[in-house]
Amino acid sequence: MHGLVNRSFELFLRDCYGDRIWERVARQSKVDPRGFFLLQSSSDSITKTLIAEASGILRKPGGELVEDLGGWLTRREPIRRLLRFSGRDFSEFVESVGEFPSRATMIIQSLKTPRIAVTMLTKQRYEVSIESDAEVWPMLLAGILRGMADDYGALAVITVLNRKLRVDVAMTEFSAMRPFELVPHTETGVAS
Amino acid sequence: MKAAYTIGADEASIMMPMHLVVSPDGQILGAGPVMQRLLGEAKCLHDVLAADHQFLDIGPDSDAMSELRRGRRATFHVHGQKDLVLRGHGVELSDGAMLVDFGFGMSLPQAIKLLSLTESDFSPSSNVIELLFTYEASQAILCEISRANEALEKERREAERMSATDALTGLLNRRGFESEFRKFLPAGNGHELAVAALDLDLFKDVNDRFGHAAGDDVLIAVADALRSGVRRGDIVARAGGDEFLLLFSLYDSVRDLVRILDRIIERIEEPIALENGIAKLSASVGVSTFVIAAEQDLATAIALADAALYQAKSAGGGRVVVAGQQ
Repeated sequence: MHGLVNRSFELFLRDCYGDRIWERVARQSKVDPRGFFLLQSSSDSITKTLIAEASGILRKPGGELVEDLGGWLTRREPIRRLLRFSGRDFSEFVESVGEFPSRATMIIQSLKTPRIAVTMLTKQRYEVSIESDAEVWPMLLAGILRGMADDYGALAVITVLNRKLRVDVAMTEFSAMRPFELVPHTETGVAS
Repeated sequence: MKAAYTIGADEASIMMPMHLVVSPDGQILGAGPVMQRLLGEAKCLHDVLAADHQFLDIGPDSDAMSELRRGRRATFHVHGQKDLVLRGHGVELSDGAMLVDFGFGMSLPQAIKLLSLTESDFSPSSNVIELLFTYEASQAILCEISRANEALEKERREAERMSATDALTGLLNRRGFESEFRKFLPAGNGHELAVAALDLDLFKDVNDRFGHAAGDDVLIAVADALRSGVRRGDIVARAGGDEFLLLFSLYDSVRDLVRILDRIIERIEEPIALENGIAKLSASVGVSTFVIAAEQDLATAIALADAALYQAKSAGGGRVVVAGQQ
């Protein structure tokens, strides 16, 4: 698994449960408690072990933890901003989910993510298929979709169906959309 | 196959939000929604834009239009907005007017801020959103790589420090001592140094009588005595066991050095309180002075200092012997 995934899980645990929990998870998973590096790939089994150990320590199903990770990612401002470049409203965002793998490899060529296909079943219902046996991806994506539905102020129901997700968008303008500007106002320029 | 197209102003605005239609004399005949925000109430192009090159100057007599007509790409600056640049190319319409389609080039961020542009202001084919996404994602990745580099650099420095430090006493080890010596090499020939080899007297008795843990305590106490006995700039290291090395780069005379080393011996001879008793010991020191010429001079000087140290030991210990003076 790419270092970005393991590093994200590490930061999620540190941020939500504290450094001590992370260090415990790392020790039990036999990985360096100092943490992962972005460009340090490791076998998929390490990610599975991390999730399993964290699940045991926190007494929370692994799937729920990964979904929480997805939600947590959407609350990290730099990541939220990157996600918001994917569409003007939640429906556009869902429709663009199939572009995630190419967006990811555009930035980090070594980051291999499974192919994602989005099918519009009705005007307000989508089916998102993930071509991977790894359980982590559907749950992660479910967490991201739920988080971004909140961010866009949409009312949506996301259902995990094995390797597929069903997204029902009840209302795209249910509550206030979190602000998003193409160039952050706090910066003196995009390059700063 | 070539077909003639006719497109209305509204449709052109949808397809090209930054287009502009200008008459041959620079009068603004039409504009896309983004250009309209930039132009405001302006009627004439030269009220808003200045061509980047003088020969492209916009005005009634300008040849900017003919340049564009020839298929040349043109860059314009916006009056009063020195950071805002427009790049465009155009085609001539049937009535002699020019249809010019613009982009903001590298001034895109400034334009987005100035005109409060959103994603809806750009056509999907412009790749503006992808450009901004790529830029922000690259910055985020660079930040993370920079963090990793800093962490690695910190660990490298720590590893370097540890590889040069004696873990028990915190003094330099032999490697650290040699590394410090090498710093004097660029000073070149003629710089005189002195190296002292110090070995504890009766240390074996302390170990035998009080145990090895007490021996470690004694070594720590001796290290403290050495630290407090030397001057700023002198270098002290534990070479191993109960052997220490000192390097002096500044001294007035050999007699001056002997005085410093005698003082250190006196400090070492002060009784050391241990958990299970009091240790009393002394030290023997051999000193050798040398002029730096090459790296191997240190090894030679240490060998000479060691030989002097044995002489000090043979003479009963608790003294300083200068190589070549006995």
